[in-house]
Amino acid sequence: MSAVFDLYQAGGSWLHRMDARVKLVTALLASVVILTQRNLWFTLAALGLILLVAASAGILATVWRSLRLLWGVMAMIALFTALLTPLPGEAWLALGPVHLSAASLLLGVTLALRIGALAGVVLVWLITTSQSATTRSLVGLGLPYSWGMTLAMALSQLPALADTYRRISDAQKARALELDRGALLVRLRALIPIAVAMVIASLRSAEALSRSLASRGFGSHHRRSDWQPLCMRPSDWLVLGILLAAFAGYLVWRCNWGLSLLG
Amino acid sequence: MAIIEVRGLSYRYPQALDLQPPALQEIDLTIEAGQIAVLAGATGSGKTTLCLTLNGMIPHLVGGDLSGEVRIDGTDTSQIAPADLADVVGMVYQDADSQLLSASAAEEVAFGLENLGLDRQEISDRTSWVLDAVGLHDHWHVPPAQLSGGQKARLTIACALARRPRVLILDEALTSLDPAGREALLQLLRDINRQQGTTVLMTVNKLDQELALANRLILIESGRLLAQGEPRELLSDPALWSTFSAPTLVQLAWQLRKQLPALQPADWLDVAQAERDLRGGLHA
Amino acid sequence: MPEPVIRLEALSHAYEPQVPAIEAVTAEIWPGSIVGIIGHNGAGKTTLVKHLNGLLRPTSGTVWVDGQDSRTRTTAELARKVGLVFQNPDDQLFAGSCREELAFGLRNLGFKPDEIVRRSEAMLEQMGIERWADTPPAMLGYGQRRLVALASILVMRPPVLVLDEPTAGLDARSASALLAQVLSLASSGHTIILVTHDMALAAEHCQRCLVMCRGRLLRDDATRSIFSDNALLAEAGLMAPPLIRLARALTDLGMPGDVLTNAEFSAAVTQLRGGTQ
Repeated sequence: MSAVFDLYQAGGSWLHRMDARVKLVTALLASVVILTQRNLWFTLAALGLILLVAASAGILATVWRSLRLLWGVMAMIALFTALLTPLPGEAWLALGPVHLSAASLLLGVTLALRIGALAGVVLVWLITTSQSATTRSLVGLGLPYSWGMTLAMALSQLPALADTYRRISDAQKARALELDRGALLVRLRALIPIAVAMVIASLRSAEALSRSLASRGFGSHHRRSDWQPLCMRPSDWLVLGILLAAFAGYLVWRCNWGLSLLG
Repeated sequence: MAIIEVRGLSYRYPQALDLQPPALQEIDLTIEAGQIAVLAGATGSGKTTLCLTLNGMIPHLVGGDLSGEVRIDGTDTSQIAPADLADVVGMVYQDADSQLLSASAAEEVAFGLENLGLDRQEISDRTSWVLDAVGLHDHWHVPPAQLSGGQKARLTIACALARRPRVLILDEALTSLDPAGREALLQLLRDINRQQGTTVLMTVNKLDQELALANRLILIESGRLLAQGEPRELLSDPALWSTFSAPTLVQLAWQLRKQLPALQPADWLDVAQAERDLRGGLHA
Repeated sequence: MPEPVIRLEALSHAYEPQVPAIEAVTAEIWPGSIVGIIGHNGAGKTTLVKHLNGLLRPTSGTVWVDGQDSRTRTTAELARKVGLVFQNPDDQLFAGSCREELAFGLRNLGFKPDEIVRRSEAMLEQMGIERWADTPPAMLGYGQRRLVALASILVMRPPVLVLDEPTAGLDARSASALLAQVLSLASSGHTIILVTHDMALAAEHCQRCLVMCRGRLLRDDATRSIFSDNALLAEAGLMAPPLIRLARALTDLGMPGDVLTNAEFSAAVTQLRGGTQ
């Protein structure tokens, strides 16, 4: 059974080896940058940079494949924005709420590309960082250890949960439960037996998990050690430095000169 | 020296229905250090409940009405937190999925060792040793979700072994293994018992390969202990087995003993022994 | 000559492309028979039976249930004909009382309320669980939950009953209680299919067995013949139950190699010793 919910792919690239905390901060700041501007060229450049980084880490194929899943969404955003956003300037088409112009078309394309760039950032981050490294980086940045553990445990239980859903719906279908026919309300009601069985299963699992934790000494008087502590290397500090400088530069530029739609 | 001492233990679960009998009734049990004990009983007979009193989950995590005394290595379990008792008692539960929470097999083992506060080298050494011992060294980096049922069971056992508890309890932990896998693990347990003096308690609902290793057998039914003693003793007395079934060959031996009184049913734990005994009986 | 109630024609199924879980299985099952499906872990037993009630559809080949191609029927429709009882009762138990649990399947099948009540009460009594009628199944012990899960399928009276590892995890007493219920159905004309790797169970109750090995049907034959064939068992990765192995070890003394039960063994020993006593 594959780990459906884990994007991580092991590898030895510079990006894989970068400290997880730096990657987390980078993803955060990059998202902020992308979301606070609406310039077509800037967005294109950002997207290009992300794909370049992905290529240098050897994960371009995976990133591109995942981005392709978003094309439908991106196209829809572009279309609706282009058609329904009245902007100053000559209108190519004006019919009731519909208002298509060169400006609105450009805005639509920009917003669509922004989604792509954002997704790209998250993908590049998660494909090169294992779930445990991500949770440890959150803890390293100040999240209480028990919260980090809860997150890690929840993530680790997702495949088991998917399995449980499959088994339970199979068992209920074997009792002639009809899931694929009927009105929406009827179908929703049909999910109740499955939902109840899943809640019971989850509660049992939760109880068993907590026993397992205590049985392995979690919460004992010993001071917990850390088998894989996160360590910043010189290259990590360098990347962090460049990142913070770039972000500061962006803020200055944004605040003083602004970034109009076309630059 | 008795490492597990239970006196007059009775217990009811917190939301037990009135028409159900107590989960445990007046249990008196002694297991000496270094023994390999098998606790056999039907599903719902109280095996898991008894195990939970031995590692402190009952009464600390589960609540309910507990009377009587449980001592592990002299310590009263009601006076010590389960996480601290876990230094002495390691337990492996039946459902492997709800015991695995890490991103890789090695991290899973390391989790329990981090809880002991061991240094990184010690953790690496013990993890390497134990994964090798259960045959999962090649799966060092594999997420537990991707392991097969039998591999998951072996991993949960590895996690408990790595902590080197003085008492190891396996609550129906071997059921998802096929006979060959089970045999391999039982050999490992025998080695650990010999080399480290670890006391082992295994619960089963069907007597099988585990019996060959055991030097103590305990029968439980509806929360009461039916009998405890050496397996040979118990297997020679059909009256003890009216509710819980003895292994099929032993039952056959009891039947044949009517025609061939010289048979020794307690020996009929495997086909080879049964064959020898039956040949002897037929030639007589 | 009655029609087979289940017919498999070159049934294949692959969960992932190019990775077949079962390949070209062809077999027929007649009404009223008790058939075992045995094989090592991962041989494809569960994959095979999931096709009988439509939980899985063939990647190629056909499954005929009571004369109809399974592809032309929904899972809910097939569930009327084929009742599949899974190993884990907690996968299906959800109701607030055992009574409700039994009523669930009947409601899905469209029975009228008074018929539902009648059948549920009768089944609760038949299984000996009437005192738990108003108790939530989730609060019962494991053996009782297995019985409730079985009852909730039996109450639908499917002509074909498929049980996946019916005795796994149960002690001998609960196992025989469960089997007694199942066998009483067989005697009233229902078809029973037992999927198991408990060889002793197959030896004792199944007239015929389908031996699955690595996705293929290795042999479809009478149980006695299968258990006397060492080569077949070795190829399928199966070990005959201890009783049969003991009998086989004593063939040089005249012990027949195809005894299947303790009773047969005892009788054979009596014979060997000269007939009387």
